[in-house]
Amino acid sequence: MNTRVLIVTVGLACATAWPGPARAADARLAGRLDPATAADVDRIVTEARERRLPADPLISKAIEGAAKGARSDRILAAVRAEAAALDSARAWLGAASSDAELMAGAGALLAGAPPESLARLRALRERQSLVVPLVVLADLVARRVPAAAASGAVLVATRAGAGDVDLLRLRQRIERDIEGGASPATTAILRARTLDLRGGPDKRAGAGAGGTPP
Amino acid sequence: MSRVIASCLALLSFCALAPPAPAARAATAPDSERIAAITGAETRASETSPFAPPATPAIPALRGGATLAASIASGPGRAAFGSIGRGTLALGGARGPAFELGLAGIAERTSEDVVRTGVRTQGRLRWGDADRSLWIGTALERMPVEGPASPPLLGLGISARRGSFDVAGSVERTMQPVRWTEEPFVRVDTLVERITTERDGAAPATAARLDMRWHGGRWSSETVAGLTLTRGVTRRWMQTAVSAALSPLLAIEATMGDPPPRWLALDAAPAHRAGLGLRLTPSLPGVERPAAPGHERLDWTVVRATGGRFTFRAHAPGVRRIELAGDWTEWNAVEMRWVTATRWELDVTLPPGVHELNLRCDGGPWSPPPGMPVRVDGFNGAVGVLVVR
Repeated sequence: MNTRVLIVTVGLACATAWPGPARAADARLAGRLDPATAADVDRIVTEARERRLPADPLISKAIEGAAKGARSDRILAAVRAEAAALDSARAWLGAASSDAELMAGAGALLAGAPPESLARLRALRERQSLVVPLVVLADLVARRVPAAAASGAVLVATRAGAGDVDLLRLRQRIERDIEGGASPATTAILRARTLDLRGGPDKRAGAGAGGTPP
Repeated sequence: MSRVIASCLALLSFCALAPPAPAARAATAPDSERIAAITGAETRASETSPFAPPATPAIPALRGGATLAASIASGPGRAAFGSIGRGTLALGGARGPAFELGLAGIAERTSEDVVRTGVRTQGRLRWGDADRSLWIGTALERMPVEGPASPPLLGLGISARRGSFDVAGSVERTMQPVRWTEEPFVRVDTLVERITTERDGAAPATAARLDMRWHGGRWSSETVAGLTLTRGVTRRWMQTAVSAALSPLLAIEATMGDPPPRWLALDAAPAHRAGLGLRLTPSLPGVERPAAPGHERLDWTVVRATGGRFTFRAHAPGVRRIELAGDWTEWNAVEMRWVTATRWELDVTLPPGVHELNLRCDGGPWSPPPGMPVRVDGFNGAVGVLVVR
């Protein structure tokens, strides 16, 4: 009897002491945000988890805002926007999308990319990762390429069979053209239409992407 | 001596205003029509990002730097301790015309315990870019500091850069210290005597100067050579300095050769053959590096090793400190490791996924590393994006 009581007591103690995902979020936010803001962020994170959305980007966004000295209301707005964008990205990309795809898709949506372009990209790349195309799309829109032209460029290149390396090279060339004074819209479309495909779809899978394309 | 120190400290205010990033031309109407025809969509300004992040990492609006060099030099029959500070405040673009305001000061104490000070202010109008430029300018000099100002001194020069080499040529007017002898006849009672008096002063000199610089890793060298024409006397000179960077802030420097005119020399002490000293290049709060034309460029490379390990590598001449912050550091700033005079590195291990990062130079604003994809950060800025698979 005593043994059974002891086991139950220890079990309850462990269950109580176990931090769990929500408490882990608390731990990362503690000391970085004021208690009220941390509680609000924690609530958003909990709701996101309940909706099976990745929570790490939300916590990271809150910490980023704190590190950059943003006001509490701005941090909350950014976290809410990120959560909404993740939700929207999953709706347009499909429930089977990876966390990385959702993060990349959310970045594109927050930049102002048309949501339907995510679904069109998914249709073009049903079995391949969409992370890099979405990262490139978000980058182009952030560089003031009009959203329609940016999504058009990525879709044209993807439809032509551009792999991740090709898309990163396309992004780099557009960036250089814009810095050189070219019209963002013009260079995006013309570069996509004249893309010289070298990498092939996921030819360099496994390589880190995002820096200088090899 | 306190005046000497005060003069040196006063020279530590260098700043330069750099150009904004090359502004992208607005899309012209024909461009918009052409894109609309290609994509079947309208291109409206309202379709761009609501956060309007910087399209490229912000090129600092305010650039500058300070150098303070102190050296001990020896020459025929004398030794000297001297210090010199130089700086420039530049307003304008990296391409096109730019106005530069320069300030330099010098203080020297010789083994005969003679203290000499001087200050030079100059303005230059420069055309061109980091690779090639032409300048014309004027300067005022005071030697000693409390003495009368020189007449406006004119100068004209060109400079070019190729890889690790810089070459500059100029023809400048400067005031050269001279010592002359006065021997007036003075009547003392019934006698007329000739009294010899030696006086120190400065006379205008015209100098044609060729300046060649090279840097590689922690080492750099500079050679100046030229001709000076003072009161009809022509003098040739050449001086070489070799320096090794001990840290981003501090370098040890050795000079040798025939000294050029004071303001064109590589160190403070005049009339010496060899010198050894330290050069301090401190960071100024709120003022962005770099200090020289062309330093606005920061090259960024991501090198992948095995097992999710990456090396971030930055090449940034003129920068004294680079910090990185990303999601994997919980957005805590991590200082990159100084490798050579112009290169920084940081080794990180990243799990698969989408990672975001920012960097900043010399405590300036956070911005995405150049060349990386960016995304809006929700705080009126942007972050760089790195995809790890």
